[in-house]
Amino acid sequence: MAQILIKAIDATHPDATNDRVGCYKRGMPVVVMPDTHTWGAEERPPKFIVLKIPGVPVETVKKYIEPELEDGEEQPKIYRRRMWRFRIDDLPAAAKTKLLKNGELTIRAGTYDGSYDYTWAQVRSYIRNLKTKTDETENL
Amino acid sequence: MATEVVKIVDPDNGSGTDYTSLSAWEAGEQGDLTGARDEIAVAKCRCTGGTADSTNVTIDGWTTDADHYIKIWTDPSESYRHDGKWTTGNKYRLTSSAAWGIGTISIAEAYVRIIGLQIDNTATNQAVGISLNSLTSTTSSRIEIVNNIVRMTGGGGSGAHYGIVGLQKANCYVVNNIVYDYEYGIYINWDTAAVVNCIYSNTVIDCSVSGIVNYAAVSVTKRAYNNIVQGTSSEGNYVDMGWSASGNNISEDATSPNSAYRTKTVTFVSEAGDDFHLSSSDTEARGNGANLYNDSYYAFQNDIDGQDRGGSGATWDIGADEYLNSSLPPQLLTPQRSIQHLLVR
Repeated sequence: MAQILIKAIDATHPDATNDRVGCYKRGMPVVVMPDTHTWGAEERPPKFIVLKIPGVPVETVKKYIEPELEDGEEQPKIYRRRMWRFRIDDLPAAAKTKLLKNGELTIRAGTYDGSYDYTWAQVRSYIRNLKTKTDETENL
Repeated sequence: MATEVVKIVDPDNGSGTDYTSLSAWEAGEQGDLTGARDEIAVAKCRCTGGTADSTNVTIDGWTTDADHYIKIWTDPSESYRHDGKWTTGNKYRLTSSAAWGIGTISIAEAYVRIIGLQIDNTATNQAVGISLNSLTSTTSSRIEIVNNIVRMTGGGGSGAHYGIVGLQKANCYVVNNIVYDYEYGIYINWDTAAVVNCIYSNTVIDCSVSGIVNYAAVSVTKRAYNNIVQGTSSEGNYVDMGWSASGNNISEDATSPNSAYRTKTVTFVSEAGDDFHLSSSDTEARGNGANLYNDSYYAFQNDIDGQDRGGSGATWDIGADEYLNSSLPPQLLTPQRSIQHLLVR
């Protein structure tokens, strides 16, 4: 059962290629941890926010912390720091306010039937695949 | 003068923890250290509850220089550093299943120090411990990889498995590390950048293709001293296109660049148990090393455990570990070692 730590502010580099390949941008997932994990003092706003998805195994959401790789390279080479980005700024105002105020949202998915803020079906359309430029449509 | 900004990384979120993974630290602290921050970014790694850090780390997107660098380490004054043998419990360790050459640690910045970590890769396909392959070749660089244990518990799939790879990209100082169970242990590939590579006092065990590989171009200053490579390697314990300088490198086969150190079998405390401290019965590595206390490229004095090898004039052992019979009082050690210990105390 998973939590996703997401970068909430942009890092920047003056070189455009280094900026794309190396820098985390607002909304990029960084690490995935189990439900039981407690976060450190810096792992909260303003630097980070957390999506809690109690009904889903860690392995299922690990794809969101994969980098985007260059096509056609024999040796894998990172094109972008992360393939996926949570579109924080496109969330409805109420959701965005709650997320940035509390630093976390609890998402109902899988077998979870406890309290929650939103369902996965509501949230997934704000998670964009930067390679295909399409939003997530799959269920967890 | 740059200020050290120390953040605590502890997967168990003990008292004072800033980040619960090295990966989150890298994401949270990433930036320009040379400008207004005027900073040395330090990740001090702890393991207060016995949990391993299990996300691979890529160090990229920073701006660094010789005075504003990244330092990732376990502080030896705390209790979270290994003691020269892979240890669980409250010893910090970074393990990942990052495959296809990504590396448990991938370094794409030019000024980075990795000190006193345990690093494991569990991937089946192309498992790598520490990779510099994403770094753009530069002579304006200084990478220090010191006092680490780098092992592979994965492997078996496709692609070659490397312990430490890509050293030809930067000025690299690889010192006092124990590397084992990869296909290639320490690997310098071909590149024309005029960098310095110092491979000093490492112990490389059971790397099935080769322990230490040097394909560097003539423009690279490559130096190898006091390394141990043991085990059967299909292409030889050492594969090299020639070193700028070398000495006292032991091989179990006939491939050491130093002929007097070939076909030597080193005795460890427990090779089967992956304890590569030198045994008291060893006669090949103990007392046969070159003294690098005044080395003009990378001078040092301690071993992987932080034990004193002795200063100028002392007789050093070969490999990452300096054998020290701690039960002996200083007056019963060799004269040089005795003086060193008295001075240290």
